[in-house]
Amino acid sequence: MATAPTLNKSEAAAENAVVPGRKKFIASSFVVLALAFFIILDISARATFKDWPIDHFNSPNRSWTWWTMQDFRAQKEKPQIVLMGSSLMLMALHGGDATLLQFPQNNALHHKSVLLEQCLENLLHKHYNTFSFSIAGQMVSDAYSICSHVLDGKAKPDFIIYGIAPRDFMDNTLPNPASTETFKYLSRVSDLSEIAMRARPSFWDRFDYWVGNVSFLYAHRADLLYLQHHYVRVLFSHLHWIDDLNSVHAPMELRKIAMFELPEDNGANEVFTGPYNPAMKFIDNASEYKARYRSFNKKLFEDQQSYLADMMKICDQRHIRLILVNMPVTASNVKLMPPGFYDHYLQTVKSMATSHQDKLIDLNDPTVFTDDCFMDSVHLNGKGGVKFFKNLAADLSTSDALSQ
Amino acid sequence: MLFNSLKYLVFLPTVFALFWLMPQRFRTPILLIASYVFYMSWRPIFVFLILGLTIINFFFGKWIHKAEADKKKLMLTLAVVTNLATLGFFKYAYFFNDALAQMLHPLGITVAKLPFDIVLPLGISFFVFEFIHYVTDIYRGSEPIPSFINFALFASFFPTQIAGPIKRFQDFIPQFSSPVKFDVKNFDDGIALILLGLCKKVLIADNLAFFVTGGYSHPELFNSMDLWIYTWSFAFQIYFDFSGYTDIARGSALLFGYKVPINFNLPYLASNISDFWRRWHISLSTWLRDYLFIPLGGSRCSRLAIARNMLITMTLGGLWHGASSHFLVWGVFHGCLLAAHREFKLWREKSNTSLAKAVSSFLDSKPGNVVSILLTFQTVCIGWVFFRAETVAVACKILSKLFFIDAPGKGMEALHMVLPSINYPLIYPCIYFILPAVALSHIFMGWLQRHPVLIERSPKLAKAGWCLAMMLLIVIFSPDKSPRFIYFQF
Repeated sequence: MATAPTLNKSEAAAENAVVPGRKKFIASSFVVLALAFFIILDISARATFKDWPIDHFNSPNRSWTWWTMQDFRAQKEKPQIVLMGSSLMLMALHGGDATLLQFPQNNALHHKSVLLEQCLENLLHKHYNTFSFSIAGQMVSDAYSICSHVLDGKAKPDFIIYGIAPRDFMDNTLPNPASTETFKYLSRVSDLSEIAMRARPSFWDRFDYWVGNVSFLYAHRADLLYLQHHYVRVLFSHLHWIDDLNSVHAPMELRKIAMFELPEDNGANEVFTGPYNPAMKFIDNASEYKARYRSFNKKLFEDQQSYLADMMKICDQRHIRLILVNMPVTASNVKLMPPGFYDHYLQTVKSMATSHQDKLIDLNDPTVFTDDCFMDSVHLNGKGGVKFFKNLAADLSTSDALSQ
Repeated sequence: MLFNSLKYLVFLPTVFALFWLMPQRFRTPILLIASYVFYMSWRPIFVFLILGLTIINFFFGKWIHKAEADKKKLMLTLAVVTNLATLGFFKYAYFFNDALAQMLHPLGITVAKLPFDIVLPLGISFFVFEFIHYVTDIYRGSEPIPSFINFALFASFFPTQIAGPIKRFQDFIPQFSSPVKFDVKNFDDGIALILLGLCKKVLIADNLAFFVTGGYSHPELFNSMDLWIYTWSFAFQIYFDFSGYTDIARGSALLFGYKVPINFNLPYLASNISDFWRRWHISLSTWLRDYLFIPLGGSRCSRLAIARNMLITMTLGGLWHGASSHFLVWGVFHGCLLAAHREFKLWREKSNTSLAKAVSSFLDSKPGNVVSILLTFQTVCIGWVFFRAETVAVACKILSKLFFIDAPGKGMEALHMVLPSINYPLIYPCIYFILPAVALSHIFMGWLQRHPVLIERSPKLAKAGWCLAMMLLIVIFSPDKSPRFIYFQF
């Protein structure tokens, strides 16, 4: 019978020099032992996770998405109209309401458009409850995620008014759709696995996701951080040292630093939008948007376009009337975009709206929204906000957009 | 690629596996290729810089070794000038251009700005210093490295490539002379060091960084006590950041069976400024001693000359950290301290006065040692103000507040501020616990160092538990993005 070839002495010594006794290595290495314990802990965490005292809707950091979701879940009745969009819609809403009510609006706590509700009531003699899911930095992929995973069942609105702008489709400063705070937050409260790979186009992002699939603790570190923050707050509450850990008590100069270093963590008392003030200086944010529009990223644009298509499909399936609103921007901001990009964006959105029989209201009219309606090159001020919602309400009332 | 990134998590095990699975003769080339891949992960074009300097210095080494006595110095000078010119161009071109502009402006002469952008290549300060060490030691009689591959690996060894420690080829290269065997202890110690380094960086340094930025960006908002807390925090931030990096570098090297120098030896337990520089960034301070201080005359000259040599060495050492006046001032500060300490030491040793004896007696006692350590730490922290502040003017403003000269701040106490925190385990009020804890950890590590048998003989389970704790902390608190290691900017 043939036997396996045996190593001679020198070959055996050479092999030992490379891997000196696998069993000996595993038995004597404390790192291997630690790794084994880690794996056991990881598996145990996976098995016991449902018993952990974690509120997935809570978060170690209070992002704008967190504030919005807290308010949405506290609503006693479902809104008929949900407003969506990025900071363009957000500032129009807050500025408009602040100017209407002559009172600063707390960006963390105010999530409805009083102005739109009033305008619609005046024009249509019908009250519409609104809720705003407009969040700074919102991409189309975020709007889709909110629409598909939050606005469902009892929370399903009758109408979604989605204020869109070119940046929502293409932001060169955004690494990938999975890097937004909205995506990260919704990943904890619902199952976004169907877009997990799609939202992570690069190899390293997908590797990070794969590591999360392998290691439960790694995937749920936000939950563990939440627990850590929770118990630190409990400890401090027992020490009676600082009464309120929920509000920010720091000079504005430090908050501005934190805005950049910790952009997705906001106190309830941080950001307020005041009524229209003609003396307020125009803010030059051209350099910011130059970076955002740096080059026409076709892949990113088409990816975001696909999310809009999916959002339209979901709205069709759930009988939600989707109304797209092309947000006003200044001519100077359009000049920052790659040549032909704005026309390409508008044409794309128009054709998608037509094919899905969704309404598109194009409010980007520089003769209506003159430069004095803007606080910077893209965001409407209080005056612009009032004009925006009045024009929007007028268009909605004259068309059958709000008829079901 | 950063040490605290997923890329490194893939890179290191891949190189580790390739290294140990390949026959001995392929191991050095594998490490060399890996080192160049590592360098190219930042900006691929700069690989030509490190390759070019490697080739130039390799041949300079050969020429210096073979040159006749009268030509040796010339060759060495050429080699050193080439290296320094490269460093000077990339690191100091803007600085010198601005300095020249400022000097000539009062005379009505305008100096044009440089017509091109200069990007500082990562690690240039470190590998240029290794090249200078190499050519100088060959001039002093050491044998050059015969193998180009070994020399190239010495220059580009990825664990130490970007931020040191600055290696000595006489210690590093002999490790290649005999086949390296896989050692479980090296593997365990290497991984444990890497985990420790990551914990230092991710858990402590990054959190303190954010805290310190708040204070140092707007010192006018804070009072004296607040600013001391920010300054002490920076002292520990820079220590944990840099020593964390060194731990990862040493641990990574150990995985391949190679030892690189220790760079930190509990510097804040130093009892005087000279002792501090024997414990802080040891590879740099010994380089400065051997290749700057000693060639200037070292301690073998008059007292005034020695003081001058210390001042020049530390001033240039400060400038090495960055092309900014505040680094320059930091260097001058330490130069003055070293010179002053040397005088104080001489006075203690040689003076027969009762005062000198009483002072010596006190400083030699245990309470005296504690006082020395605290005084040294405070003095070093004053220097850190210049290091951290963005300009000399800001540093002076902070210092005037630290010593109560400036008016008090607006009353916003740093420790009662609340800032929300994302992915950071600290919220501002926790600094009350964190700062004493990191200070105590330093003392505890000092005690452990005096009782090494405790670590060596601790049960495997305890070591595994310690590793497990570090793994958990790193996994849980690994941020989505982490600030670069501080010393990457040098």
